Amino acid sequence: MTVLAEQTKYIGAAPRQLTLAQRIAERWPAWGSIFIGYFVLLIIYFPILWLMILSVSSEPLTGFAGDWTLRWYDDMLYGTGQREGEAYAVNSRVFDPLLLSLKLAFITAALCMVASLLIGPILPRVRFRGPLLLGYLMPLMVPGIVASVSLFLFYRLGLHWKMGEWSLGLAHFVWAFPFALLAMLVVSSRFDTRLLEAAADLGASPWRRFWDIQVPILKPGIFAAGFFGFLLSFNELPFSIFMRAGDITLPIYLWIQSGAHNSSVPLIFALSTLITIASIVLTFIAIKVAFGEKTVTVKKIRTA
Amino acid sequence: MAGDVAVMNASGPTTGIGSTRGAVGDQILEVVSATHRYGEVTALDNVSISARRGEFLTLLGESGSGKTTLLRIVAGLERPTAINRITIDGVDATLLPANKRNTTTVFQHYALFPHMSVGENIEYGLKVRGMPKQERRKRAEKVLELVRLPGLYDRRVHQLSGGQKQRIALARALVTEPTILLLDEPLGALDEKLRIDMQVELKELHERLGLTFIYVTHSQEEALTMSDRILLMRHGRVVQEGPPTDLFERPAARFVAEFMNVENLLDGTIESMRDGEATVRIGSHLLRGPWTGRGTAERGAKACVAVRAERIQLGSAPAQDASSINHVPCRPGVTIYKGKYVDQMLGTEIGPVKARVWDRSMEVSSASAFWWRVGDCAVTPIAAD
Amino acid sequence: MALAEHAAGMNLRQFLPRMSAGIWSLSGFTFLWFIGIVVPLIGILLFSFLQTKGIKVQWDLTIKAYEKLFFYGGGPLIGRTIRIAATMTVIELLFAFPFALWLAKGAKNQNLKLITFTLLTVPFFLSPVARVIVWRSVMSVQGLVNTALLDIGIVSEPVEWLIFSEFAVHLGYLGQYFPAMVWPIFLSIALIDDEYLEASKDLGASRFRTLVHVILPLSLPGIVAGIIFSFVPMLGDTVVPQQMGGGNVMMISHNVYTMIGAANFVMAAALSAIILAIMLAFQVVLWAALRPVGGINNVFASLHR
Repeated sequence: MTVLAEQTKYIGAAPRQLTLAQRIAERWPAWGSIFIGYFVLLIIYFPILWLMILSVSSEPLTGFAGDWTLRWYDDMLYGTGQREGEAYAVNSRVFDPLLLSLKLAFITAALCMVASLLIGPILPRVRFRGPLLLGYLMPLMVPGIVASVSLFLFYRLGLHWKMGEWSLGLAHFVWAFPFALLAMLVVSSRFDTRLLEAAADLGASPWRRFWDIQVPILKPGIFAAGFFGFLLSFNELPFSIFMRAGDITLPIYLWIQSGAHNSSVPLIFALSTLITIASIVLTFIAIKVAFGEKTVTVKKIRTA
Repeated sequence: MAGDVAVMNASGPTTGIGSTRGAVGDQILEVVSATHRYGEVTALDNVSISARRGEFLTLLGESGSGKTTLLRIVAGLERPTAINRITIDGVDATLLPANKRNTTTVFQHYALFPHMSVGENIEYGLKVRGMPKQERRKRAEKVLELVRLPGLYDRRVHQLSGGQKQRIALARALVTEPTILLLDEPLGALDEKLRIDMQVELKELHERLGLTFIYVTHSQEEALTMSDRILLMRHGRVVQEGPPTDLFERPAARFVAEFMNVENLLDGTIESMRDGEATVRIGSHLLRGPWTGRGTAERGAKACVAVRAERIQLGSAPAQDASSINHVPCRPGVTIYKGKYVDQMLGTEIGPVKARVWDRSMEVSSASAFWWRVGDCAVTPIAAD
Repeated sequence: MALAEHAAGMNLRQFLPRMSAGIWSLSGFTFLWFIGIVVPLIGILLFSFLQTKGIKVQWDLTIKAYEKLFFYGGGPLIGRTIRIAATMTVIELLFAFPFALWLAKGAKNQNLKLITFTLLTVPFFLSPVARVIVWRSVMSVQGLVNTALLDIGIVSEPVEWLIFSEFAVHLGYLGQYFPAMVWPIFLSIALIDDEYLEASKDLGASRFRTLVHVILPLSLPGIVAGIIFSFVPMLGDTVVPQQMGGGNVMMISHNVYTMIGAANFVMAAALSAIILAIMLAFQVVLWAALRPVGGINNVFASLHR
């Protein structure tokens, strides 16, 4: 179809003769929009790159790079004040939040995968799918801080439940699930339920139909849901702020430390760099998997 | 409810040879009083059918006639709103879900599992029955040969052409050795030439395997070519059932004649009725033909004379005895060239009529009258049921 | 659409035995989700009319929280927050729409597109703190920009409003929420059949007319989604006002945080409730505007293509 459109475009364009001025007049909105788009991307990526560069500079607070050092990484990993010769102890101020964040991220990912697998396939096929979807997407439509306070007040003051890791997990799930669900819906709303009929017709029990047909075909959606769950939980801040009882996740640690005007800011640069690199690597793997599958699908369509 | 009467009489004289030995042991399928509604729409209205072992039974009808719903009820894919019972091979299957019934379906859209290879697709029915891998593979290879696609075992589904997909779907359904093979417009998505090849192949396969086929189609031509018996459905009821010749030669209602592509449907009123032969008045003309509706018709009832274009002869005066023909004067209209023959439109006092002329030497444009033998048409009631 | 709905209904019916498991899990999950999430979210509206003693709630309706909130300058605070978020939403839209249009219909180089998609995806998964923290050292009085400006001689005194100012907050928001605006618009434009655009061209429509009469209406759902996905989180952003405003630009998130810290729960609730009410009203208007093009169910239709 694209090929057809391409051809029509060509045929349509052929007889037109444009003066240079007309051509420029026709083109400049395109160039302008391209320029603005990439300019904003620069604004997004400049701080990230500069952060990485400053994290290995000795005077990061001045904003100038150079005089390369790994001191901040050393301080971050082993704690300030501990120098060569002393027994290296892992800096628990950083590692405890890291472990907590990882734990929460894995739990959130698992919850997102299970929940979106339960909901995703059936939601596009029920009568009230519109209102239901709105209900599930509600956390996206309410500012994080408002949602966070609402949940805190409901559970802590309304139900008198003590905050803890359970509430952090809940908060992360609430934040990540709408994205996970959307990712699953992209796959599941295209799922051909007639395949389940065919399987039933061939003698497969409901359970086998689920495992043999539905799960394998929805695998990209399940994977995407898990990926969204993991990374969104790992970097989640607004929901975590209130839904905790003194627990410190990595983003909260960063937030508290960066708010304080003290010398730990260079450590934050180093830590942020590591988290950013890890997130980027993970995102790339995910994109590779997602786009890799897509390329296969495209090939499939072409050969069919 | 008149629709069911015809079906309940499945062992009546119209059924042909098989019905005379319609013993219980020979009946592989029995559906009694199935009704199905989708919300307000009644897709199936108290229909009963039965099939003999080894029969090629076709459910014919337009889309929305209930034929696919009926097939899906047999397969267990649809739970009817109300039903007396379904018996498959002597076993009461009324409450059995699809996966517990030994019927398999060839779907129009193939429904091949996209994440499995051809071999895995075919073996799936055996796999869920717990058959060991080697045995599965052996059977899959065998059935691939049966559908004339040996060597495709490792192929991915998306690498197949439409015709190949269709055969794989057939192989997948056959390999489980079903009691009844259900085919839901299996050739609907294929192009014309492939469709005709597959018709022949399916027919051969049916004869070779001796399996019971229940075949759903909207194409009267497909139904005529392949079936032992046809059930013509409309609005969720069976309008007529019988062997292909019955439906072709003796349409029981105007709708049947229309559906079977009878070109000339001349509406009038019953003038008289004698020994199964009806006389119909259309304007000032009286036409005679065998009454194909149920029972007899009252004088003055609306009726239709259905006559095929190729049964009409053109000329100035008939050579036959006037008592055995219907004779109508006409003026020739448009001639439509069709290659092997021409269709000659005729203007008459009873409305436009189409005659088919195979003899190219004939001077059609000078015809002043046309006629057909009384036995070559059918007089049907106008109300479908 | 009607046909699709009919088909969906049929599927459900066909699978009564199998689907019942799905329906049960959907109902169960939906029940928990509404009790555990939606009710608390809406419940804050009620909560803001109560009073608390410690963490004990007193179940008498009162508007004391609101009185206090406005007495202590809640009005200007909410006004500023909405003004900044709205300004940046408009700017994001103006920047993102042409870019998304180019990405969806103009860009031909597949590699460039792939790289751009990746660049637009990665920021979603980065820590917000990590994304903006470096501005502080770049824009500060002795920072990179000021030093450069002084060296070149454009200014004689360091520019102070580069950081910890409304300008800085705007700048922080620009990068933070650009992808959230581009993606939905891109997706909705990409889903427009090229044939529509060709047809419009064949009918002699100018590029501008095609844009206004074909592309704009058809991409409206994407635009609405983009507005929601950037305006909403900007209102409640905790990081940018703190990092870029540095206490000079007060927005609601910081105040909510302080109020909760001071156990002033009802005031936090009142502030949140006002924002929530504004958001709900805003979204009702937006979804209503979308009704002619299929409303929320349109999401499913576009997912399906």
